[in-house]
Amino acid sequence: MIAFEKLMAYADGELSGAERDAVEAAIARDPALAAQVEAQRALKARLARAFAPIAAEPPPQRLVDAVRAKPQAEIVDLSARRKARAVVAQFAALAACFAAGLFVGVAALRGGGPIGVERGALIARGELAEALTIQLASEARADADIRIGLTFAAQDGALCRTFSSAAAEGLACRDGETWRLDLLAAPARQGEYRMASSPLVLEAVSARIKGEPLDAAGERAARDAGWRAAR
Amino acid sequence: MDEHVALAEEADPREAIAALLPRLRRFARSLAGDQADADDLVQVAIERALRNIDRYARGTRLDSWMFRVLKNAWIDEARARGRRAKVLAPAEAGESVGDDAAGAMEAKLELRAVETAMQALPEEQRLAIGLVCVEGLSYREAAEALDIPVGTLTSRLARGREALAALLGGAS
Repeated sequence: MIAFEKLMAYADGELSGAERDAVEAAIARDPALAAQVEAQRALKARLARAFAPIAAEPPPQRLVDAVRAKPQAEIVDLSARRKARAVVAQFAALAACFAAGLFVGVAALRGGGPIGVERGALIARGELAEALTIQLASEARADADIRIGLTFAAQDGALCRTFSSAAAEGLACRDGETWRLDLLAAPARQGEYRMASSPLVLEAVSARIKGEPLDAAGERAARDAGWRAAR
Repeated sequence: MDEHVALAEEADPREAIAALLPRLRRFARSLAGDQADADDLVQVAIERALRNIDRYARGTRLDSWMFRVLKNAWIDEARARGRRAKVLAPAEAGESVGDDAAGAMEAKLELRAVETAMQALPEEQRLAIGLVCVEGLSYREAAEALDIPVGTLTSRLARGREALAALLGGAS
């Protein structure tokens, strides 16, 4: 008498030597056992086949992003990685152009909206400009339409802020009395576990930032000083 | 045969984990029974793995280690939800099948039938079947990923397969 577990292990190719020989001898004597082995193989193949399409489809972007999140672990990396980043940043700029084009088109049709054009540059208007000027990340309400992320000084001294909304996220830098939009991107899908900013925005920040982002006190001081460029 | 999944000293674990995403998603799907839950589970596993990457022993199989991380995340999650009671067909909502070719449609129905049966199994049997029958691990590899002896793995696998065979009515 051969136990079911033995037949299954045989069907899965897990037996060797005397154990395998014993099962094979038993199968040769008893067609019912041979049928059981066949059924086990068929079931395994059916399971593998049923789930195969999952592994064949490209993984969703949020998982790819999750694998590549937390850039601090990669700072020690080679210049090759930096070059790769530069390419991504160019694509980001390109993508932003398209996204902004759409955005501006819609805004122009409505005769208002969060974005305008001034001296050839995209600038924040309306609610977006207001949020950039007034909101402090440290006092953010969870239900705000526009949320401010990081505030930091760029290489040229201008103060820049990241923002996100349901429609878009991006990076704005203070330029005189306006907020110039340096990056505008479709928001990364908000999974339950994802980070606040998309990789595109983080790329843009790391390309511009000088020193560390402002802390809550620095953010407040910068606002109270009217977002004037750092000396 | 293990070289492609074991991580060499200088290799970037992120790249290796990224390459495992298709299999992690498939294994997670075999446990969770719907793709959104499965992908959430994979995301949790990735984040845990990256936080604890120094616990991964270089040179050993990264896929087995990742399966174990995912398994632990799944068990924690299932516990947190207090033993998921759903035995019904998953993914009725949201999965658009409208413009699919007939073959793809059939594949989806088959997947649904199989995972409905899988969802009826106890957690421990589903884990064993997911690793051995869906992911194709050997008994030894699966037992290691699940932190159980091979004998225990074998008996869970046998019980699970008997139950599945009864639910699915043999091979299709």
